[in-house]
Amino acid sequence: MKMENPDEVSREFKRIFQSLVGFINIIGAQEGNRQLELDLDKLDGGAQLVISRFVPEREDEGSTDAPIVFNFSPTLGFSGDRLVLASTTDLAKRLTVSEEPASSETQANTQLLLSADVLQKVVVDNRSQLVAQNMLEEGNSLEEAQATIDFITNMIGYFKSAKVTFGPSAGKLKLAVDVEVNTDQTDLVSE
Amino acid sequence: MAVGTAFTIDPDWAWERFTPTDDQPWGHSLASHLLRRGGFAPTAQQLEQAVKSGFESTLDGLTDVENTSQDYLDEIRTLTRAALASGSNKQLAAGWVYRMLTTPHPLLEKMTLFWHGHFATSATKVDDAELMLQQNELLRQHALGDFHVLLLEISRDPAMLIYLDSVTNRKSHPNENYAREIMELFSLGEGNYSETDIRELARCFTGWEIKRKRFRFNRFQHDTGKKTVLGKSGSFGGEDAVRIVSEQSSAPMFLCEKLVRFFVADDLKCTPELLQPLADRMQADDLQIAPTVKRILGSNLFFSESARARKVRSPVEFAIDLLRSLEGTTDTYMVAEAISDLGQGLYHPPSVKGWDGGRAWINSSTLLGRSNFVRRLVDHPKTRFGKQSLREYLDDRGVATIDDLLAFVQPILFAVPLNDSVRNQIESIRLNSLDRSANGFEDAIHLLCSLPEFQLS
Repeated sequence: MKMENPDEVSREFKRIFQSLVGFINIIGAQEGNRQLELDLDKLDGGAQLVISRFVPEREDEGSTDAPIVFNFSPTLGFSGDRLVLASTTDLAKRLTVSEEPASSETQANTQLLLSADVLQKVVVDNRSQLVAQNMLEEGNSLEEAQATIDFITNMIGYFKSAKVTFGPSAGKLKLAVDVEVNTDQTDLVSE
Repeated sequence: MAVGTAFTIDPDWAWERFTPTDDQPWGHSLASHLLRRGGFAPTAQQLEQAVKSGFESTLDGLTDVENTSQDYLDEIRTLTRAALASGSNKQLAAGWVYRMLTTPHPLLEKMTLFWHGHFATSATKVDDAELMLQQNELLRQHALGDFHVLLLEISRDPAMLIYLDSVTNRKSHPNENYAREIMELFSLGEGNYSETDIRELARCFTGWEIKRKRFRFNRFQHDTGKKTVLGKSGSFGGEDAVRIVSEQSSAPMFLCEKLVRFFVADDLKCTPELLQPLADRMQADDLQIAPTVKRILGSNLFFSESARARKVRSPVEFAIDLLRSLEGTTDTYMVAEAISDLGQGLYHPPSVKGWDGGRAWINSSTLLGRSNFVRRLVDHPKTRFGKQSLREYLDDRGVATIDDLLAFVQPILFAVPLNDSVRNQIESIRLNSLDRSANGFEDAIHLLCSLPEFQLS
């Protein structure tokens, strides 16, 4: 999102974001939910991130069995006149510091970009949950479910990215799919 | 010896160990009855094995719930960790369905289900998946253990403390909910305590609280004064109170009646005279649960006409029996939801009294629901039988015709023989669909499981 008056508006957005996190924490505390902690990160080129994240108990650090909310770290990013609101800090950081995309000649009205490495990391981080879901939804044994999830994880590793574009081109509607293949793929998951 | 009606049952004969005779030989019918009631319906292979092993060996195997393999425990741990991470009660229920479908110790799961209905606690009020799972593990751990210990542990269980409002039991305002239910529903039954006992017992439990999802005793909120409970006086705390309750002579009689209704028959007239020998033995065993259950499952009464086909399948038994007997796997979320729709929501008993069971399971709505569930199950894209389609599974077992199918499923799934009219109905399916459609066996299973006979166990 572009801001008209970044100096003034960014401060307002920061305040609103912090108030929102505070509000979520109050409601969450009443229901016994985990609390979000706020943090600030300054990046090169004057970019800034306002980070909120769920902090695990000390003994749970590094656990892959933590509740699913730990996947989220709602973050607000500023860079020049760019404003980014993302569900995770990592995503916000990428979007905040990424280069301005070149203007598209095809004027696509729908565009989907998928980064395979990010997707693979998400799958690996949530492996135990995905294995359990596979057991429950497919009726598979633990061994079968692990094999299925690991197969999917490794398959994702064969790709770098996928881009789907849908829009008008020379008087027609055009659907384009670009898949970038990873030529040096190695198995992320091994037993 | 006289059997046939409850009024003529000789109590001593009833609880003596059953011995197969020429009139009542140990065969498919009796073996299936034992395996089904003491767990879930067997596969054809398990039934053959039980017949071959003999009565005593089968009973010993069924009631021996020790020694679970590490691989299986790892499998279950994966499910419980994921359920805790998601905090979802639906995932918990699906996980329990998965466990009932795969357990090597069906009696243990059956008893865990029994205690879940006995010490009924609903996730609707507790609203914490971790606490519900913790209670489920507690019930399983003590399901066939010492009732004194089970009662004490459940009294301190955080989910139970929340469900029956013990967490608000302060010395200035004792809450009588738990004190009432521990005597009325959990241990003694109505008429074996007074209102004064309830008030005094509630004082014993003051200060029993939860901190960080664990039981804790808050001595500042505990009433340290003298109490008189069930004829005994002293400065009792909660532990003393539980011990006094479970040591009452009415406790074994109360527990035996519930166990007999659960395992033997829904409508059996459980007179004190009939239950007395069983209750005396349980008392002599100091309320050990496993020997009592084994005594029931191995008794003359259990194998008599007063018990055979005298129970209505609960929704859990209806679904799990069908799937286990045909080595079925499917979407366990779907099964858990269907079981709930049929009136037995796992982790959601309807009240502190648990499920009424028996004939209450069946009405025009649930009967139709059961039939629809079977159709949904056999048509579900994720349903597999021994990792194959139903047709392939049956093919591998030499089932090619409807007559083969009836011969195959009757001993494992039915408590009563199927009569000619049923055979004719199934035969009409063969004529109408089996030769022309790939769904002939699915249709036949659907019809078989919709029969009144299949609702009985």
